[in-house]
Amino acid sequence: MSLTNARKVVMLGRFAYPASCLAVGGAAWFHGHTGYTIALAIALLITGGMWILLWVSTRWLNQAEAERTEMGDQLIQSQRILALGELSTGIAHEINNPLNIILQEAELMRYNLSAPASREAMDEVRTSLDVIYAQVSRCSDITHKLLDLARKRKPVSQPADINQLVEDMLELVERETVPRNIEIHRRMATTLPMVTSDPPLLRQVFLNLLINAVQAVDQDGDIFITTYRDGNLACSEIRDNGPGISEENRERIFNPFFTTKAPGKGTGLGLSVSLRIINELGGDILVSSPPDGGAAFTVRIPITR
Amino acid sequence: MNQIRVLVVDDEPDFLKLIQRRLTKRNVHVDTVTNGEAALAFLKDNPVDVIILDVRMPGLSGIDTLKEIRKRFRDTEVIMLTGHGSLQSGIEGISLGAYDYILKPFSIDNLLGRIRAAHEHAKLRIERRSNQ
Repeated sequence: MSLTNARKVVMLGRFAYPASCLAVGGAAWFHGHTGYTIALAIALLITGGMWILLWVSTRWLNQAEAERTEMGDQLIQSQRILALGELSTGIAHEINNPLNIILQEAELMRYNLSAPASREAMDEVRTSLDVIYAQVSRCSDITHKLLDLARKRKPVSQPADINQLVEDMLELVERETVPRNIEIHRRMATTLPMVTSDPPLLRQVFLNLLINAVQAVDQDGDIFITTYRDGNLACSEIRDNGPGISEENRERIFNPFFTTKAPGKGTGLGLSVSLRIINELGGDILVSSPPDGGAAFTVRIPITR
Repeated sequence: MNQIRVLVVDDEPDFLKLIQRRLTKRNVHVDTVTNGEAALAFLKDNPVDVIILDVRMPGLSGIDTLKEIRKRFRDTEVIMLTGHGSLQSGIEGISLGAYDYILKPFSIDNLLGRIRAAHEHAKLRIERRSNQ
């Protein structure tokens, strides 16, 4: 609203400015006919008019900026609510599944205990109890992971060799990739300097991304690991030739509990935790997924902080 | 420089004896226990800098021990000791906040390098906290 007004005033100013110059010139030219006083008065009037015009336009522009900031805040708020929605449904889903199993087992136990005790029924009750135990620990795992997500990690900076960190995590992941016939291609920059960062947190992130890549490829494919330097950033790209990430999912993959994996294969917290970690280390994670498949995650962290 | 205090948790007495001898020669103070419960009891009275934790132990598993250590003794860094058969636990350990992992068999220099880095990490964290 204010922006439209400001634009109108500025448009007016565009014509008013040359007009006023001409008018002042004219008044000076004709001062012989009109006298000095009147010429001066006209010039002053025009100057005053121009000043008011500029003052108004500044005011409108200031207001427009305030409105824009407010709108930005509203936008962030609505995005937060969207992420919160995803989070709530995620938690509900993750907790409801074990709750449902616990309920079923409890009913089964009641049924088994209603008849006179037989050995068979007792065995079944014992099995039910085991299942309930397992499901309760699954629930507590989920809440712990959530708490972990909410926890603010305070990174401790120490020298870290990115190539070494990636290599260490590759060693863990390769036990999965070899039997599945997934080939890992390393393209490590030999000139990458040591970074000042938090090694255990970085290991977690690389491991998360590598596991995702392995799960995306599943069988018979390739994973490319590239490390390189870009200015003050140490970059590590983990690229796979799996199915890739669809356009509509790309904005949501970092939301907690968003997952495309089958139930039980992943909680959907890996990427959100990873992004949080990297943000706290002063870096970011770039995602790209070309239309013809495959996905690439690039972790960029500052070499010096 | 102060000696680094290390606690090694493994269920194999021969391995413990060997690693204690080798690390002591490198100016590292080593204590050993043979299971997770004993490790937690030991830590209550004796603060250490770094724990080398085998993932495969009878009784409290390495992962459960790690969870407890992370909860109760936050200033101590943990290096997971994994065999080839237990890589899943290595992955789990890293996700649960272990500082590092090392694969059996390993060279003493490799282990020592990781112990030093973990010790430095713990020291920096304590320093930063006292500065706040």
